[in-house]
Amino acid sequence: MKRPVLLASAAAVYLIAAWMVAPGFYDGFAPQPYNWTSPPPQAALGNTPPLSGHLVIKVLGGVSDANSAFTDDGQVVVLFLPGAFDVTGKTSVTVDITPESTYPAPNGLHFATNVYLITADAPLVKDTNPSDPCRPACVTLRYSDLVPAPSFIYLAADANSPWKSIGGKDGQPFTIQSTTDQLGYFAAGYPAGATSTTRSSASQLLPIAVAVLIIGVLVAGIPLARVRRRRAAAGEDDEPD
Amino acid sequence: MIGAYILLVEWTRALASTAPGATVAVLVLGGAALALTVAGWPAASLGLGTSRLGWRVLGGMALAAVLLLPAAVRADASPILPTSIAFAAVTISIGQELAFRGALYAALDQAGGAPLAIVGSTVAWTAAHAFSHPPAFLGAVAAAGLLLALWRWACRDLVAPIVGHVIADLAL
Repeated sequence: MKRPVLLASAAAVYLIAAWMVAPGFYDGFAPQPYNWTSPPPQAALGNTPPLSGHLVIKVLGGVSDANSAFTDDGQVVVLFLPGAFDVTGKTSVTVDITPESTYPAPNGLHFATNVYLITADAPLVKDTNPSDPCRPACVTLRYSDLVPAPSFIYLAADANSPWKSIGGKDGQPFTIQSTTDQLGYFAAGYPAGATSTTRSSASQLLPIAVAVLIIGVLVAGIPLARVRRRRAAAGEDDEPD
Repeated sequence: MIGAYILLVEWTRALASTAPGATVAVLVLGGAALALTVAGWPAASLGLGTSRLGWRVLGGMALAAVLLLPAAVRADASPILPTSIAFAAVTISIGQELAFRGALYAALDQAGGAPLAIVGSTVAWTAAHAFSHPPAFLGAVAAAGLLLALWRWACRDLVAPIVGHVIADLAL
């Protein structure tokens, strides 16, 4: 009797401990916790503010060098290919990325990430026939595992401009990326009326999966108990290894 | 010696997995490196016998249900593992169970008996997650490790922890 009681106690301790933290801790496949400017309720516990980023890109031979700007917490990465900027009269280009708590109203949109303002002191070149899918620049936004996955990256060129989708494709787990030839406000999300992508249906699957597990244990346990009793009656040794 | 090796593998894995594009490869290699710890151990001393296999698998399903329950009842906040790393998740789950509740548990059990094996494997399990989890999560990590180690002791079985861990990781 001692062993089942200890096991049950350990299970109870686990349930309490796991209840006190956000889901998804188990093996660290989920990304590091997302740093929110305004966290959703399930992420409010232990939230830390997002960080900004700064980069100076050299101009070599009249062409801006290739480089990546990123926030110090890695939530935003912007890759600039060689010649990404119009650098007329400049010897370097300064890029800044800052998380913003005030930004153009996301009318009809639901953002799944922070809004970031990405600025540079030189404009990006407009390449109507880009030779590289990342020309002139690629924006990658990380998103939290605690919210539905975003469908698109949205851009607002300045504080008075409307948001527009610039597309988006999955990159590394929990990231979305897209090409841009314009800087400004960036966020990833989806239309507010849309059924969200993978996450929402998957979120509904988890309770079902656990229910199936519990039912499976109960249902399969009955025939196994019968087999065990029959073996015990026959005097067979069925002790574990 | 086994404990030091396991911690080295786990900490290296945690640090290396932050490299862009390295997640899957690091998980698979880490799982394989952890699985090496069972070399030389007889299956029975690792809790890997095949007797009462149905019960063991059923026990694994029960463990998975317990491990997933806190997330399942908070469905809106349930994380989902991207399918791209599902295979890697299976690999690392099996590797971790073989290392912590298999080889390390068996070594500590030989050295100091079941209490040392349960406590030692749980402490090592928690320490191994120190670099991959925020400090606030380590209590729950420790509680999961204790539950799995107690199962290993109470049922002399590693199949159920493996099954439970794999299912839980695929969902979380």
